[in-house]
Amino acid sequence: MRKLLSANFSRLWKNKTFWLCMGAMLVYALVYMLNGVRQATVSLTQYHRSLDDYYFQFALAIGMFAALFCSMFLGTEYSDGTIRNKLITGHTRAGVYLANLVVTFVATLLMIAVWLVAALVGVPALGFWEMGVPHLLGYLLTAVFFVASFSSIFTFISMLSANKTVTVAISIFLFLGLLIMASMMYNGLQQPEMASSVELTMDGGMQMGEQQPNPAYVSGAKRVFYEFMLDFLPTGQGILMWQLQIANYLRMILSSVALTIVPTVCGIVIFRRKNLK
Amino acid sequence: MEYVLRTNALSKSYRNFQALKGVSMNVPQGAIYGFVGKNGAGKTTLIRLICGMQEPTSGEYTLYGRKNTQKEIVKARRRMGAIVETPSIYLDMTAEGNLRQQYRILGLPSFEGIGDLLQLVGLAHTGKKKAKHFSLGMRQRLGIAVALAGDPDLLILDEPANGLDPQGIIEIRELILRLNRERQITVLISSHILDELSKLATHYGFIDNGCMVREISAAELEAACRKCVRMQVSDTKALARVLDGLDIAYKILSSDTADAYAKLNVSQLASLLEKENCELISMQERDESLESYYVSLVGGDKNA
Repeated sequence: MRKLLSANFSRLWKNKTFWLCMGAMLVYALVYMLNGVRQATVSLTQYHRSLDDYYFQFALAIGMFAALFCSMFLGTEYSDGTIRNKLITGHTRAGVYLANLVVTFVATLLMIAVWLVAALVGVPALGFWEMGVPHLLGYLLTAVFFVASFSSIFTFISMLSANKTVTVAISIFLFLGLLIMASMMYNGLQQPEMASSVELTMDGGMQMGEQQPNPAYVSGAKRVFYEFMLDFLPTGQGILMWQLQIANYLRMILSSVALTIVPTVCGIVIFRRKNLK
Repeated sequence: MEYVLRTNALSKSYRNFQALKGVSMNVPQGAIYGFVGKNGAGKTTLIRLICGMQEPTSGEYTLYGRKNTQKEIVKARRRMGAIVETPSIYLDMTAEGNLRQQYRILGLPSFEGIGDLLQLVGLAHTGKKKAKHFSLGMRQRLGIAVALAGDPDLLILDEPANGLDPQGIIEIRELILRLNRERQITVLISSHILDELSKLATHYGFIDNGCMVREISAAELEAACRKCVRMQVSDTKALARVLDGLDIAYKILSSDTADAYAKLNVSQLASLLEKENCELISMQERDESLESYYVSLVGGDKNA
């Protein structure tokens, strides 16, 4: 596998999609952080803003970058037929699969690294992290694991679909689908248990009505399920990280480990049986 | 005879379609093995199996003495290079970049041989031009160069002349001959351009409808396809006596038709037949070719 990794990484450093993703991440980080600095420093602002509020925005978008990069980078192996060269020269299918997984994982981590470094542009105005080093490390570790699960899922799709266009479409739609699903669950969990309506008074004023149970409030088993899914899905983890609401590091990391191992094992088993052309 | 590749009753099915039906094939060391068959006969399927891109449904093959069911088949595959259908090259890389990539995949310690390989396939001048801007012939030659990285002993080429112009076909033919003669590389080449194949192959395997119809050496094929003169006479018994007297091989086809396998002196033959009271009605020189041999084997149209 060492030979395959060497070949894959050598191709990575010359890959246009990779550098486009890295460039986009850099620009995204700079624009987002500078905009955050502007928001935080206008004189009328009534909220206290810190670096933490902006620093983990990448967690929401990295899945899209992973989907795009994995499907383009690995899809080329099929569209150019070069995956054949690896098998003809005696590499095992498991080796080919794992080497591809490793390179997509590292590439996605590097994209995050670009964000994390570029986002430090906000430090002079916003100061350093207020969450403390243990939480910062916890967040970063969680990010590493959910990036692994993203890589595993998109490598699975890219290795089993021989059509590059289909691979790109499936990967992006899957990411968007997971993101929408996680957003809906997150929004459901944000609903207050009790809500009060605003009533207009006879003298033209307004007053708060009596507190009543909120019908949109998610409770019981459904709430437990939503909470679990937000911790389980990489997109859910991304939303919680972006909102600085990570509560259960261990459950998130274990979920990511499961979402890395299961697609990889299934992918290798199916790829070993796949008829390649 | 030593064989680099042998298949034994190799079969491959895709759902309800059986692409290969118990194909047995023997590729001798040092041969240029022409694998002949119509489109859809099963040539590419067999090549895919040998290259490890697909698993056989039943049967087995042996590559350099290693069975496909053994783990060591992976090591045996390191002794081969192949182009299956289209050249496997990164289109956004240069010729040299593609070879460097293949050298890394093979784990070769240095890139020393790349210049020689590019020279060998006539791509040394391509510089920074990316493969996507190459002509079809250049891509095919780059594909061969990639397949040759690591000095394989067996080269498998699936329809290497497909889509090439006449000059490109000549270049590929000369390259294959050079590799076989100078580097002693065994070549398995599938094609349905029979005329082209006949200029290269030392052995043939004819496949039709997923079955190996016949394996034959070029020498045997030449004997089977030898030039003959078809004659129509009034008495083939008299003709037989004359041809026996001239020590010429012949074959009686009917009461008035026979084939003689030699260049004939027409006036001498006519005079001898006259003495036997036999009339020579017509003579026609027949030039049997690989194509007519193939047609006689598998029947149908002449487009293999």
